[in-house]
This record gives sequence, structure tokens and C-alpha cells, in this order.
Amino acid sequence: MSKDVKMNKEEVSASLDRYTEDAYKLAFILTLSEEGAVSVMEDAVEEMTVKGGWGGADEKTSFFALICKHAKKCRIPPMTAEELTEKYGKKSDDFYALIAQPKAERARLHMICYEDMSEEDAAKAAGK
Amino acid sequence: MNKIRYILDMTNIKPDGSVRARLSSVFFSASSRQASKKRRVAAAVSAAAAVVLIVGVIAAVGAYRSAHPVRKDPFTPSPVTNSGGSNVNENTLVLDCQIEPMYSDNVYYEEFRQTVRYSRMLSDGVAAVNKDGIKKLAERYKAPGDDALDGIVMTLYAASEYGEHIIVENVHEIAEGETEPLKYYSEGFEPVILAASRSGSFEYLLVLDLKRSSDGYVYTRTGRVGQYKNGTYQFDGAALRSGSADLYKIRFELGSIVIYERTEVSLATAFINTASGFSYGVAGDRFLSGDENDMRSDMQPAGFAPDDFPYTFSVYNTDASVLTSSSAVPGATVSRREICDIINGLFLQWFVPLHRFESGGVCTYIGVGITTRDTTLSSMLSSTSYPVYGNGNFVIEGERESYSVDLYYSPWSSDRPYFNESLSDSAEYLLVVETTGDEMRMQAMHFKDACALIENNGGQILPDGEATLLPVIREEYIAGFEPFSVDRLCFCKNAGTLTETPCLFDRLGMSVNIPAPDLDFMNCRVQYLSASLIASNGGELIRRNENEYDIRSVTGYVKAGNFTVSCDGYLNGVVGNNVMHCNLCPAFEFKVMTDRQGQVLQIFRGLPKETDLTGFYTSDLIDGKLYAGEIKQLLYSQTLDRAANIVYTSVPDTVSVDVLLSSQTGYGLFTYYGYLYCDDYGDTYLVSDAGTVVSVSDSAKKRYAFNITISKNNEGVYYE
Repeated sequence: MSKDVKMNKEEVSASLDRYTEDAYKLAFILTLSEEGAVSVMEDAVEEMTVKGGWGGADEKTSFFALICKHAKKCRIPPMTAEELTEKYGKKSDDFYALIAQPKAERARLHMICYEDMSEEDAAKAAGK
Repeated sequence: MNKIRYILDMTNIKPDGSVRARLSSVFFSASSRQASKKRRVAAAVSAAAAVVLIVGVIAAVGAYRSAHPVRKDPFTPSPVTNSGGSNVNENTLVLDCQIEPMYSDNVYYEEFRQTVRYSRMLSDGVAAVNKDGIKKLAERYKAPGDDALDGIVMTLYAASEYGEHIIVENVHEIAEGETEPLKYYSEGFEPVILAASRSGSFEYLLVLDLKRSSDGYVYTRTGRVGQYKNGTYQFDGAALRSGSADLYKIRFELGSIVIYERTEVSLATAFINTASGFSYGVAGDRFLSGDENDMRSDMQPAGFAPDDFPYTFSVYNTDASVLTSSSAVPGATVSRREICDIINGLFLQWFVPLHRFESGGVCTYIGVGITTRDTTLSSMLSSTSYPVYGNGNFVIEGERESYSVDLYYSPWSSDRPYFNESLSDSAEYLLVVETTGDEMRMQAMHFKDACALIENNGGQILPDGEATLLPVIREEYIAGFEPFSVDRLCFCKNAGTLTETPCLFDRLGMSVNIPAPDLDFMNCRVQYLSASLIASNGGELIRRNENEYDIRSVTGYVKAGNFTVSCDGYLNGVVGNNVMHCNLCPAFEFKVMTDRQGQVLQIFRGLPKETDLTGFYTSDLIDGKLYAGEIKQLLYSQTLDRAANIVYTSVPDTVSVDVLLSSQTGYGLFTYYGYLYCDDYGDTYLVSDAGTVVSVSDSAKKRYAFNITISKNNEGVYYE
């Protein structure tokens, strides 16, 4: 058991290395909050671990789907567009249009645009 | 939605360093608990790295050519003379600030000065632009019809500490504090290049902020330092030497000057008195010297060069295993600094191919190997203050003693040093490099034996004189390198014409074998390709013809058949049959599509947005005409078994085309067979074989690549 766990930890660690930044971007887009993004990612990692989702062929998609799922429940207040602009600079109109969307749609559009997911996969991960 | 803009919007939205640790902690905790789920209360997140501002203009590989004339007078630092001014005395330094551009003759250092004047690189790796700079950039680079400053910033900052390009999308007025020096430029100061020198492929510019008053005096921010007369600055040596200046390390890349570093240097040590007058140096070394003109010598490349790049190397991952599986980590990167370190030869052995012959599938190159493992040279190479070129001690492979040779950098190929010694005199041992496919074997061989080998294979004795050095990464040195990612690379532009192929990877002889993800390969009708993949890292490869392509990576530099492609977002273009089909293009405009085995299927330029696909090969025409459509551009196939990407810029009349919209399950692409009907208004419809209109959603049309064959009103050339 310990050996299996040890092997899993290394693989998961590698996966986290790969996904952290992109997952953060997705989580941030959904929560529009740094605190919220990290919280959502933590919940997603926890559920992914508990359910043994690491290491599968669709590992990233599953992880992202969990991020979308937990983002729905996130109650941490989001930043406003003005606050975002102040902190991260002015963004494109596309960006503001996207963050004005509901969370699920925001997730779907983000994953299509940024992760190059297909519409079907993005919709599925977004829970639509 | 504009994908590129959106992706750039997200560039600075990153987790801070604690996030990764927190996630690991959660994982380990959950692993040990397993069955229970505990919801954590989000802890306060430490602030992300402070960002003073975001500035953004999409950095592009531009074909920007200004109308600025070439400066005719090379930089010649003048010894102290009586130049006619009454105030000139033996303590006066007269500097001719005319500097001949190092690179292409239409590169102008004004670009550099403007960049220095209007911007700074902040500690976060973000470019800050001052108020004047905003206006200047907006005026200069404003895209037509677009209020947003999404034009081209021709001078990039190479944020080598961060390994990233600076992406400047929108310009903001900066705050004070860190960017204080910039505000002085609005008070009449200008950055003046006092002197320049070259080291390897880099150029070092000594820049001082000076203000000229109406009375002809010249001031730094600390006080008066001289006067400006007859187009030259005449400095009071003592006054000047009490101050400091900025030393910039720059290089010309892809049509613009890239600033790699800026350090402050004391002018007290920059100018050295010698018996014959003044010479200029930095840190006590002959950094700036009239001898630097030797670097602009007319050393020409060797008369012959390998017909193709002699060898490519896989970039090994840290486990020293070749990246061949689809589980390879996409997006892992090396920083620009690491790339530049590679260029500077810290881990390179330079191989000078002098002769090449091929026999029995084995391609043999004979030449001279120069290792930079020599500690003296290695330390020189790693220092930004010492010239890399010049006399050095090199160890020829197989030799125990080092040889003194001179290396020069040709201004026409700035990152290729050249020998100026007779190679036959200095190289008793030569390297023999044999390549068979991807395998390479090197061995040392005595010069005489190498000559005999060449003679036996119908070659000629190695010539004396100049030769071109090509860098080789030896296997033992590449452990620890990570694969290059698409958008983290810069290329040294060959300062010749745009039709010259070599990019940085070419010169490094490197290939980046980041394999394609495991995807389905969908066959279509026999004569069609099934281009189908859009990888998450932006690489797509479509096989055009099995005889022409064999590219096996989704991203990175590859060489396949007659085509050389670098898929890093800054493609230099595609060369087929020694003809450049596409010249420099901005980032992200190339797509190379592949199947699940990583086989290149096709290469095309342009993003598949709104059915706008542009192709690059124009070698064939249908009926001798280039069809133009509103949306697509036509590419042609010569034989019936090739599919073509069709892009119309305008629709002269109704044209029926067969359309294959390739699909990849899991990535959302799909396959249709039918006709794409383009009317005069550019509207497109998908019409089935039976003539029934099959609706194609707008989003589908926007996102999917087309493989289109042409039937011109069912007449003429027809591809089935």
C-alpha cells in the first residue's frame, strides 16, 4: 500500500506541476478571486485524490471538471472588473465579456479558448 | 472571441509560489485520509507578485523596415586630438556617436534609443512605459482601425531572468518610484549611445542620459559634463568620469533589437588613459576599443556548407531519456537565458564541418571540433564583460594541447563564429561525424586520415581558411535541459535576406521532439488528408503528402524532408525544395497539424478562425489562376491524391467545392463530406452530396480546419 501511495505521489506531483498554472487560470476565471481560485483548486485536488482520479487518460479534463464543480460552490466574493483592471491591468474586451458570463459559461469559454478543448469536452467539464 | 487576445489577457494571472505547495499539502493529506472528505476553509492567500502595471503590445516578429538611412560612418572612437574647439584639451574626450548597425543595414539604433527613452523593464518582468512613451508607441504602432495598442513593439525586452517575452498589450501610464529614470526624458534628457562593442552575437551599448542646452553645453543629471559641437560630444573627462551610465546588452533578433540586460556602470573605469590617448574600457578591460572594428571584418562564410544540417539532437529530459512517449510534459520550458547560454557555448562543442559525403545511408561530416569546456574560455563565455571572440585557447577534440585560434563573428551571421586560422595547421585531429537517421557517432581522426577518407570517397582535401562553425550539443552536457516550449523561444535572425533559412534551432542543430498527444487519426476519402488535430500547445500538423513530410513533433523545431519548420510561434517560414514558401510571420500564425503518431500532416499559416485558413505553398495552380475568396485562400495540389486548403479572399463567382471538415473525437472536430458553397457575399454553406444544405454552426466554421478540394463548377480540374 505504501509503495502504491508512494508511486502515486510522484505521479501526482508531476501532474500538479503540469497543471497548476493552467488550473489556476481556470479557477481564477471562475471565481475572479485569488483566494477563491486557490480554495477551489484545493477542493478539486482533494476530491480528485479521494476518488483516485489521478493518472487516468483524462486526468486533466477530470481535474478541470472538478474545478468547475467546486467553483460553483465557491462563496468567496469575486473581484470586480475594475479591481481586476487595477491589479492585472486592462484586458481585452473579450476578457471582460467572458467574465461577465455566468460561471458555467465562463468555464466553457475559457477552456475552449485557453485550453483548446473541444466544445463538447469544455461543455462537459463545465457541467453544462 | 479573439483567442489570442484572451490568452494574452491571462498571461499575468498566475499562482504565486505558495499555491503549488498548498496543493501538494492537500493531496498528501487527502491521500492519508482517503475516504473522508474535509472541507478546508480557505486561508488567506499571500499576495501575488506585485505588478506595477500591465503594458501590452503583442510582440511580433515583424518585417518592420524603417526608411532610416544607413549610417555611413562606422564607430571610431577618437583619440584625444585638437578637433578645433577652443575648449578641447588633453582631458577632453571626443566621441563620435555614429554607430554602424551591427546587423542588417536597415536596423537602426534609434529603435533602441526610443525603447530606452520610453520604457524600462521592471523587476516583475513587466515592461513599463512612461507617459511620453505611451503617446509615442500609440502613434507609431497603432494598428489601423484599432484603438487598442496592439501593434508591434519592435524592441523587445528579453526578460532573461524570467525566461519570457514581454507581452505588451495595452499601455498604461506608469507610476513613479521604480521607473523614476523615465520621467527625466520628459525634461529634455535623451539617451545617447556613447560607445559600442560586440561580443559574440551580442552588442554592448554604453548609454548615458544627456541633455543639450541652447548654449551648447551638455548635462547629465548630476551636472554639466561637456559640450556638443559639430555633431560630436566633447566631454570634460573628469566631470564625465565622476558619473555612471547604463550598459545595455542587446542583440538583433527577427527584425528588432532585443534588450537582454541593463546594468549600471561607473564611467570612472569606462575610460582609460593610455600613452597614446584615451581608450575606452569597462571594468578595466578593453571592452570598448577601436580594435572592435575587426569584428566587422569581411570574413565570409566558408564556400561550402553542409547541404542540410548535419545532425539534430533530441533535447533530453532530466531523466536523460528521449521524449518519445505521448506522456511527455508539454509546456515545459527553458528560459531565454538558458537558450542564450547555449548559444554562448557553455555546453557546446563547436563543430566545423568542412566536408561531407554520403555512402550507404551514412552521412559523414569531417571537420574540426572545438570544445568550450576549456575553463578559460568557459569563464569568458559566461561573462558579459569579456569578449567572447578573439584570441582564445581551444582544445581540438583529441588533442591534449590547446591551440590558439582567432574567432570572428561575421556581421552577416552574427551567431556564427569563423576561424581565421588555417585549419590544416592548427588541427591535427579532426572530428568525424557520421549520421544515420537520428543516430550520430563522433570520433576523432588524424588530419591525414581524414583527408584520405575524403579522397577515398571522392572528395577534396580539406581547404584552408575560413569555415563555419556549427554548435553541437554533446549528450553528456544536455542532461537537465528541458524541452523547449512553443512560446518561449527567440531566434537569431540571419542578417541576410528573409529567404535564408537558418533559425536558432537550425544553428544549434537541435530538434525538439515533443511528441504529439495521443490522438485518433481519421482517414477520409482516399485522396484526402485527415488533418484533424489542434493541440493544446498550438501545434497542428497536417500531412500533405507522404513523400514530403515526416515531421514528428507537435511543437518545436523539426526538419522533415524538404521542409524545415520551427513551431515555436515564431516560425521563420517553411522551406521546400530550397524555396522559402513563407517568410517571417508573426507569432501564432503558423499551424502544423499532426496525427497521433506525430506525423506531420500539413503546415499552414493562420489560425483556423472564422474559416480563415491561409496556406503557404503556392507551387501549384489550378488552371493557372489563384482563386480568391472572401474568407479563404486557395492552396493547390498538383495531383489528384492531395487535398488542398482553400482560402478565399473574395469570391468572383459561385464556386462549388468539396469540403472536408476534419474531426477529432475528443477534440471536437468532426468530419463532413460535401460541398462548400461560397456565394458572392462570402457566405458559406455546407451542401451534402445530395444537394441538401447541411447546416454548419458558426462556431464550427470558425474553429475547424478545412481540407478542401476544388471542383470548379464541376468542370475543369476536379479532385475527387
